[in-house]
Amino acid sequence: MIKKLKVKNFKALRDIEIELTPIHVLIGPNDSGKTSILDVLAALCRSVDHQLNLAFLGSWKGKELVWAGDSQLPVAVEADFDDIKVTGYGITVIFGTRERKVAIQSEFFKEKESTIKLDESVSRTWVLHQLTHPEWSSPHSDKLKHVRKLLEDVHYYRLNPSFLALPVAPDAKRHFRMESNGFGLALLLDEILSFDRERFDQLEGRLTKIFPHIKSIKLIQEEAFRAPVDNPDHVTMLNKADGKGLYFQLKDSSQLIPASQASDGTLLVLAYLSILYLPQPPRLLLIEEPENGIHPKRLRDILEILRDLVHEQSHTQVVLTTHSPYAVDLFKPEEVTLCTKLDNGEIKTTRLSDSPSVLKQLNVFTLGEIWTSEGDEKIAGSEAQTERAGE
Amino acid sequence: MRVLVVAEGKHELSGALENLLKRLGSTSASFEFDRISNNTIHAVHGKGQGYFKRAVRWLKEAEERGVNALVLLIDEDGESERIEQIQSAQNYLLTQLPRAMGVAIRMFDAWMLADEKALTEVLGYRVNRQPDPETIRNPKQICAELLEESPAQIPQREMYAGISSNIDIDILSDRCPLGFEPFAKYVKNLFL
Repeated sequence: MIKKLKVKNFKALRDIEIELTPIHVLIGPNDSGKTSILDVLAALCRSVDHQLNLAFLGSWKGKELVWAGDSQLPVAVEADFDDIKVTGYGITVIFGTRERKVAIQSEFFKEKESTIKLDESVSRTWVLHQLTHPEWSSPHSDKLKHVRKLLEDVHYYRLNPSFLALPVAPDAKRHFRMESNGFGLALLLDEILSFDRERFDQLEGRLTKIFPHIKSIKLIQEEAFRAPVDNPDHVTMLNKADGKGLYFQLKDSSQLIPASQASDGTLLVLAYLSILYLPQPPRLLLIEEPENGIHPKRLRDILEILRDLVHEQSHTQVVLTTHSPYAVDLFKPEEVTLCTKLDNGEIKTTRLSDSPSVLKQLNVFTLGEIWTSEGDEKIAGSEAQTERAGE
Repeated sequence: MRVLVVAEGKHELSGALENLLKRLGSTSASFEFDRISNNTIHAVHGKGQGYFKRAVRWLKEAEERGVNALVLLIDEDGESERIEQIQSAQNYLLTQLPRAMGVAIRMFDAWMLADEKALTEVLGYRVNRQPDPETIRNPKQICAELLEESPAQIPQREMYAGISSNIDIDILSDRCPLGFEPFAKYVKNLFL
């Protein structure tokens, strides 16, 4: 588990440090750096099994991801682990001036109290090099393998019900995984069904418990779509091919309801359940605004699924963003970090358990109520305090 | 008569508040307890200050649970605006559910210090008269210190439960005129 994240010069994250919990939520106004934190976490994790220019997700070129667009500034990302063998890992990278290019400036891992710096590499991390060149001999091979084990397999979702509903063509590269927008759900369910019927039945049982009007899930052969796998640009180009479509059998009717006609809430809950019932759940699950399209009471179901994921899969960590006070209600103060933007444009982070104005009201109010009634500024500290923190 | 009792902490909800309610006339009532910060109960958005909205939300919750009355008690914790907000909820007319709402000054623990005879009886040694409870800055700490001197070796919640069974209600009303006295009046009215 990543217990602390330190970032310098990535977008508006000029210099931040966040203590993370097994399930952690980021709150704050729009444009306060929440998504940037997920992006940089994803980049660090992906750097262990992707080329660096593919590790940083989204559409970008040149120095667009660097603080103030300054190409001279190195972007540093570091994680501390809750682990005995390797206690930390970090990279510092330099972005190119025009194209989608990024190079390593430095890389290190930590064991106990000592920091071991690795020789300079160019376009990829030594952790990735060790993966692609298993014959490569280094005194640190064992530790680098362990770093990869701690960071690989990140899933990053901003689920869109329209994509969740699409029929999906099989793809040898797509294995037990949806795209970030949710494309691939039907195939993912079909893979879980083929892998372990009992697991699929449990998933179906959980869904029908939440939505009692649904009797079962059906996956039917039909004309479907094919899309690029793990596209870092997050752009989905769809081509037609044969594949599987997702349907729901209702309790009081013989009619099958196609996923395209099912409610957004049903599809979103099903998507999160699918992650919960993966044979190998992700090590790090990043989720943007799970409340979108969800009734506040249904949101509770989704957050319970995510908590179950963390409890049942001890190696899985979940970090999510939200604008919903109803979601914040379900977290402890130490599990919530508020992001705010200072006047100079940089981001400040405040863990709610460190905010006196939160702690003094916790006996009476829910956390979401405190957040909405106090406001971001008061929780983050007075304006004067906030400015001083910025300095 | 079913009564939902909503308060802040373990000391109120571990027998002490229930004993006080019984002493105030609720001998035949059955109680259901909940923490006021229960995170499944999210206050409605809209007009009004925080404590008012939270208390009104509990009135609605009490109605949904089908109880006959709501007792709600919070601590003042040095923030006097809470008294007015809870008073507004006590007078809130859009729901008719009988209710007794109060604000303990500065906190519930202060009520445990009002009657030195009850303290002496429960703690098993002679306890002197304490300063006016509503002026004590940290009554929880004072209670803990008195308990430390006691040969009784009981948890603080048991001390509170014992005192609330033994305390002289008139003395408590006299010595806590801002918090306990109005609360006691509302509670007595509930059970008339």
